[in-house]
Amino acid sequence: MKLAKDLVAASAAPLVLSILESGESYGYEIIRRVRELSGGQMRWTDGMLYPVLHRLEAQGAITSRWKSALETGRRRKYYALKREGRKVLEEHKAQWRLVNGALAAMWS
Amino acid sequence: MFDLEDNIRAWRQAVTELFARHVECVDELESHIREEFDRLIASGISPQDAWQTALGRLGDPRKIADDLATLDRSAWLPAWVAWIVLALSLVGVLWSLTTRGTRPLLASHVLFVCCGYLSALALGLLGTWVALTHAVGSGSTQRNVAFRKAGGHLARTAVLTTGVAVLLGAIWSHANLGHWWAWQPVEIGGACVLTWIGVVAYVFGSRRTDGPMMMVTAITGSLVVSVSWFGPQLLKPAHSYGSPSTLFGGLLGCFLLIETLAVALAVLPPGSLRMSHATPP
Repeated sequence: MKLAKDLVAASAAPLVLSILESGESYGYEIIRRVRELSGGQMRWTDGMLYPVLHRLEAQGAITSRWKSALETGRRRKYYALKREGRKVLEEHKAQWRLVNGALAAMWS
Repeated sequence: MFDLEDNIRAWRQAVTELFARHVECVDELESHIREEFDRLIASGISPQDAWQTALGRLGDPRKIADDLATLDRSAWLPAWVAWIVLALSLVGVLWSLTTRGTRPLLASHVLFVCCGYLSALALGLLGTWVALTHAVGSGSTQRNVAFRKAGGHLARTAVLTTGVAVLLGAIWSHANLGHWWAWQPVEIGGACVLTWIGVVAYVFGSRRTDGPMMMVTAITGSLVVSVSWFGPQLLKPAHSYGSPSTLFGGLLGCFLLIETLAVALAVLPPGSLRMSHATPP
């Protein structure tokens, strides 16, 4: 199933924040996790993730640092959730639950 | 024979100009391409195909650069308005001082006072705006993050420039009146402003403070500044700027009332004054 562009865009920030809630991660890994969590149904154009990450960082929701991966020595930019980011994520969760609840009630 | 490093170099050359304001992102995208390339190679695809596939999955670099460019324009509008009003006011003060031929030391003191006090007032008005949207809209962490960032800059500007102003004022006072400090209303006002905006700067810089606390301290800052700056003129018309009048006192009173109401809005739960939409029968 192909998701509408608007829905993909709207869900990008909560998805990224939710993934970072369980620990720091980097762009490639985040995209891999989104594919995995959606059973391959959500396929982002890989590059669209980076403006989302940079926007969240500019908003103070997440922080980043470069570090070398232990196994390969390759440098990666790791992102981590900040305290403000947890609050933003809680807001996203409340909003998505509201939408989900309303739609579920109408379609049941 | 396919050479990954040659291709990476050529790709970087092609996209570097697009990401002129986000150079670090090119490193990040390169890291991403390398990860995808390695994964595809491990799955048995030829290097040439793996390279083309990795680039294809990354998407159009122009689109990514355009998305990043919107970040540069997405600054919080009320903060921009506050900074523009502050800059225009300072230009006005500078023009006024220049045309009056005020001596350099006194002119510097007045300019720093205006910069510090106006920064604190701008921050207070920003706090008033946030309190209003908080009361009639809803609590928003993103708005609070933007407020903390913009407010922190304004508060630090106010602390720094007011500190310099107090110092220059003391030097001017010593040179012209023979004392550094005489506990005059304007001097007490300056000390009050400096102390309070120091508190405001701490509140905006601390991770333990929340939105309402930032709003309350910012708005209270504008109350402290307005009383400290304009209050002495109502007591004693001894300064070159302004003169006491009923109209002036009335305007100051209105401003204090509005800002006090704004403090009340800031401590209300989010959305308390939101208009509820009546449902049709």
